[in-house]
Amino acid sequence: MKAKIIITPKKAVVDPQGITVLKALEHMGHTGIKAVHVGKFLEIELDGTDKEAARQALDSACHKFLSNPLIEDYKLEIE
Amino acid sequence: MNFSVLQFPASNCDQDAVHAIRHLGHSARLVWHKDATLGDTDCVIVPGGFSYGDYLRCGAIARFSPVMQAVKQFADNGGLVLGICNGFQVLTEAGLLPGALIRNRDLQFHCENILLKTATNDSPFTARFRRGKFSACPSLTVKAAILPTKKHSQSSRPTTKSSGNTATRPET
Repeated sequence: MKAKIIITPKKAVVDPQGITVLKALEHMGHTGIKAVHVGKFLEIELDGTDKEAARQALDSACHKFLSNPLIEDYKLEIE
Repeated sequence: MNFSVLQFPASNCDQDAVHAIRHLGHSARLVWHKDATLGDTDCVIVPGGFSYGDYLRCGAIARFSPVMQAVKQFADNGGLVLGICNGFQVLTEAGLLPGALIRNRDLQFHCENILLKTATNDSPFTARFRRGKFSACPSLTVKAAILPTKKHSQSSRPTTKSSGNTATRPET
């Protein structure tokens, strides 16, 4: 099994990296971009086959450690 | 006073803190982050640096070091804790201080002399300052602190009640 976790800054939190990348893309001639959000991607390799147990354990890890719920959102997928 | 200066992998200026404290005539000792106790301590200093290489988020991994449990307990009992630079970030991640740190809006490293206004002198760290007085202070920042609004706090992880004696300085 593999877990894929995407951590992004909360929409309400100013994301200067995203804004800077957006400006650079516009500078390169890209148009029609509404916003850029720069985050992190974690791929976690897991033993076992119990997806639900893995989801619960990693959901807790995301909340307590892998993301900071004050400033970040996360999406967790197990496959 | 007896000071404990914490040491994480890639802490820096920890020796400087010890030197400064001894220079002022107090006793200071280094406490390795794997230690579960602080010993006889009046004040804990969490120094700056790049604990655990700043991996994941600054201070996010260091907060799980055994010594941080002892620091939480010490602060909850009214002990003095001072976080400098990365130490401030560790205290924030540990829930001893409110809020979180995000990068400066302009993504620039700021190195400048700033004026700090003494908001309160009802604290052991600022007791000798006059309230409302401005003091010049060198400041280096890559990240600035944000404080949670009430709405944000509701979704935050449970935090340890921070001691009224915990003073900090937001830096890099």
